[in-house]
Amino acid sequence: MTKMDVKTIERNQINDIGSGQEQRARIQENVLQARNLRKSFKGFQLSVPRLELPKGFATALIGENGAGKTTLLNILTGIRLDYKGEISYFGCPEKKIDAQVQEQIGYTGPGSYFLPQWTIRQVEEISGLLFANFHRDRYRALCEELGIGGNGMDATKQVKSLSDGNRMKLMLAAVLARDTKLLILDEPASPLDPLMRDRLCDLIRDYLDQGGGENSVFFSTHNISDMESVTDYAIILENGSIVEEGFVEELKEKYICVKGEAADAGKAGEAMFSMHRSTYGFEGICLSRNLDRLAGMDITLETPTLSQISVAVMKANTSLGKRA
Amino acid sequence: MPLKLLQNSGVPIYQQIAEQLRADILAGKLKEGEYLPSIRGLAKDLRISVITTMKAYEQLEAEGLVTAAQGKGFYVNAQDSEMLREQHLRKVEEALSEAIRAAEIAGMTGKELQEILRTLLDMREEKEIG
Amino acid sequence: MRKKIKSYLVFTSLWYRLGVYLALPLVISGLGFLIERGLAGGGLIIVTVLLPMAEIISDVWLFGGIQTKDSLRLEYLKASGHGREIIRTALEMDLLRKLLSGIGILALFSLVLAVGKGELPEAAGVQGFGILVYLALLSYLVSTLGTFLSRYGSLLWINMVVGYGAMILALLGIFLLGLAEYILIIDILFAIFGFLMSVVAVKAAMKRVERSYYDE
Repeated sequence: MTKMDVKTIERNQINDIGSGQEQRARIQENVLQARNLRKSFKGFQLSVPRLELPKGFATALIGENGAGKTTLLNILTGIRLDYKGEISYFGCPEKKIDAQVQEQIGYTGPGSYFLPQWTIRQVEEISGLLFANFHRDRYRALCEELGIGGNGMDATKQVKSLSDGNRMKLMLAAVLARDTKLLILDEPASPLDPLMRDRLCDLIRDYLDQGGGENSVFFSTHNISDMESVTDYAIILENGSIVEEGFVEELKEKYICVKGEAADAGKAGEAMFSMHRSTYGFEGICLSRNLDRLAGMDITLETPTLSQISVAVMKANTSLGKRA
Repeated sequence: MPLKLLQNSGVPIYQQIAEQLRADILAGKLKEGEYLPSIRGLAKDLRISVITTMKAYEQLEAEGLVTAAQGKGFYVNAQDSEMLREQHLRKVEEALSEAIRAAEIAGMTGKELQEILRTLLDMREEKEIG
Repeated sequence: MRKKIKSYLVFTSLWYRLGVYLALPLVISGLGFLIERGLAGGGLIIVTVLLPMAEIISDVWLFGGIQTKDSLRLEYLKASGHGREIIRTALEMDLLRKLLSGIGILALFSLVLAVGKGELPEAAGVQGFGILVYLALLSYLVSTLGTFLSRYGSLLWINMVVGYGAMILALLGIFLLGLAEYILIIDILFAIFGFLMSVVAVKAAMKRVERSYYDE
């Protein structure tokens, strides 16, 4: 299989960018490219005309429950085969997933995933059968490190008797014990306690560092504040469609957090992207390019967090959807 | 490389990184040709996202302080004395403007300010001699 | 081959292995001996009839429910290129194991019986051997048919019901032994049906596995 590098010069956002943002002339490779992904269910449709994951970075798929995140990730990992569209991985010209690609992808997810009766030891056995690039010693070391192996826990402990958090750790041990180029994690932070969420971020950074730019991570979450410190690129999914995406630093320039006086709330509301008002004043997100419309008001400006941006974007798209 | 970051200071993290690295480069702590830590390695150490360290490095690159070498990382440029001097001059101007502003608020005159500067310079000289 | 065995074993739990490889043969043989002693014969019949029932019931803990609608959310396997292969291998190995178990248990039982009576195994002759083959094939055919049917459900009582049905079917098959002149033909028929049943069983399960990549 010859490897072709797919380079995309100058990332263009799907939405209108606006004047305040520089077009970055960085040569950015994609680890995954998808076109015209479509999947219909009763009452819901996933429609992604274009999806590109930057190589060497951690991308977050942000969306509420029911936005279509799991469906999209299942399609990308080959768990769901009934979809329309094309996906190419690692710069290869093939338009869909195959066994070789799956070998390079490490997936964790919210489903039952393992057979409930499997023991931690059996997971090790089957991992060796399923994947050529599985390292037993790494698996055991990771289990011990994460507190589910060695002294912490018996290797004969069954999956069904593990807590959600421990099962998540087992999945992570199994995928990180392999040599992969892409991790696709469906809601990895949800079952974990705050301390372990921190560890997860460290593990992701470690994975990216080890790859030296060749490893990438794609994870989904409905609560980005847990994973914000590790997110490089964000894709916001609402109702089956991508409503915003971009590198975090660019999004933080595109949107700005504005706080102002209650008296100005009415006028500000027209210019703001999303807003919340109280008796003490208003606070919300404004597009940087619309900032001049707030001239003359007594306001403070702050760099928004990714969490604030995603909430604002999702709220705005929901209300648009309702109006339409 | 010990980098101190303040999470909620209002100054974006990438900027804090760039500032500290810039200071180190101009002070000569980072030598010409020396490679900065990899963006992912630094992100891992500082526990932040890769894009943040990348942006910090790109900023330094835009300022001409470092150059990106494909596949290898960012290395420190030769700092010619002209540019160095300019950088330092700018810093002095900024600091003095700050002092002038503070003096205005305190209601001091220009002469009083100059007095203070002279005293401080004398004190420093004495310290160096002694 | 070793890898194939491993693929199969991974689906078994410790209890399953203890139960099916150890307890099952011992209990069934034990019952067989009791009957043989108590009724001066019929031990072999008991073994042949109980074997499929035991296999069908114990399958609940192996591939139980694999052909039901909601089964197989084994994303770990499905996200791998070899997932399907492993499941298929496990199904096939299980059938092989059933066949070998059946032959093994019946052969050993007959041997012990013969030795106990002071007879030499060779004394049973070709006819004795022929009966053994007949019973082994019958047992395998009924086991396979039974597990195939019971896998459409995932509850224990379904397997029990099918198990009892299999018992009756096996009994009927034993009565066919009365047609001594047609034994060879019936043997061949059993072998053919057994083979076909195996193919169908694996195909049915794999079809469901494939379907699970497409369901809602």
